[in-house]
Amino acid sequence: MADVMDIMGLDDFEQENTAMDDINSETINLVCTLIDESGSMGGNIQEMNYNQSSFKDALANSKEADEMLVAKGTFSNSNVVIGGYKKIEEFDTTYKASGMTPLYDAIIIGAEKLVSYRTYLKDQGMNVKAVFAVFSDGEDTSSRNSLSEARRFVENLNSLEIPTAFIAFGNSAINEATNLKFKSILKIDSNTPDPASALRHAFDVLSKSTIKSVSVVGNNVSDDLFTM
Amino acid sequence: MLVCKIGFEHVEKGLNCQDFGFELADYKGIMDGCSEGKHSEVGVKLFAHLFSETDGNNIEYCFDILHNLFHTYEDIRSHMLFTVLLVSQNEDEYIVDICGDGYIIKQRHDDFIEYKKIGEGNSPEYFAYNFISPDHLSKYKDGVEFKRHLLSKTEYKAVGVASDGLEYILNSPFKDEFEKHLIGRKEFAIRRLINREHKYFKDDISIVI
Repeated sequence: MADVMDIMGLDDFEQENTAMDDINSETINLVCTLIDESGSMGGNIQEMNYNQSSFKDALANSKEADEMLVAKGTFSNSNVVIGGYKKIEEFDTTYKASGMTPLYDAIIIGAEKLVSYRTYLKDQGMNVKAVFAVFSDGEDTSSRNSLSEARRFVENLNSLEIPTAFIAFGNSAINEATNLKFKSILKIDSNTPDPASALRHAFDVLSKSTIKSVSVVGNNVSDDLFTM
Repeated sequence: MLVCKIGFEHVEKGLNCQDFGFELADYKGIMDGCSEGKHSEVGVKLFAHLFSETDGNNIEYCFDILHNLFHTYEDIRSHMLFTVLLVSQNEDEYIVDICGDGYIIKQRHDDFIEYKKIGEGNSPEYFAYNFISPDHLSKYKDGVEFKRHLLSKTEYKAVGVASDGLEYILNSPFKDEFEKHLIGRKEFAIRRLINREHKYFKDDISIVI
């Protein structure tokens, strides 16, 4: 499936994402968040709602807010919905959970969109940085693509020095994240002393990494985001 | 609107950007450091700082301070050779004061853009020549001074200045795109254009309007 995606024209990129004229910067940080909305995540609804709002506020209130565009992707059953890269004010913080887990499909589509838009912006003269983060309890139950295909996309992001982070809810997700070759993995489960705090920490690290990445020259983000 | 970008050859040669620009309440301006000066960007930025501290009221004082820091011939050559282009205005006119080379950008009321090149050849009139013994100079032995250009507000909607690096834009296939962004005061679009086609733009470019 991944090999037959349409190549987007310039107008498509402008419509799906943020138009060049609306970007008041020559440096931009793309933040891709893929959030698992499968039924098994049902116990985290309240925390996910709260922390997405905090994440949005942290980015929106930073002085670097004009220099970042955020895409939110959700996946459940066979549905992968990935919005365009928009200003943080447009980030949708709602969360629901039902159905199965098309994790690999989400990663492939998300990574492909991120790399395509990154290339488009670079071709327009932008300096572009990016972060790719997945929130999931794994394991994959409904993807059309395989683990090895999804891993190829994660490895491509790693080779492009795009930080890849997996916030893993439980051991199954840890195994998936490890097999997928994510560089940064944070485990959150019932054995975590304070799961709510750990999730807050994950969003906090993600927002701080994003802000720091915009404001500092060079590849300042460490290989493992969660060791900060 | 202020744009200041390093030139492609500066990147390739590992030179700093030696242009600088500023926008103050009553003045805007750009400086273009001589590429033969090892660190003319130091003088350029110190001058801008001093100029802003004096609210643009005493250019000679700013140069005197620099001369106190860089008083030998070699020091002056390395740090103080730069052009200065300033724009201010009164009720009726735009006032452009220039010592050196560069461009005056004139936007007519119908948005047609005119460019006036100041200084021809490779021997800009650097103000710092006033601090160098005539024995070291082949030209400008009698000193140099700022030259004033007055432009009527009835004729022009806006007036700006640019460093000589602008010629790479004007001679490129991207002149029309540049002018569209200039008229719209799309600072970041101009920056992205320069990033995108950087190989065309060999010299540092600074523009303020």
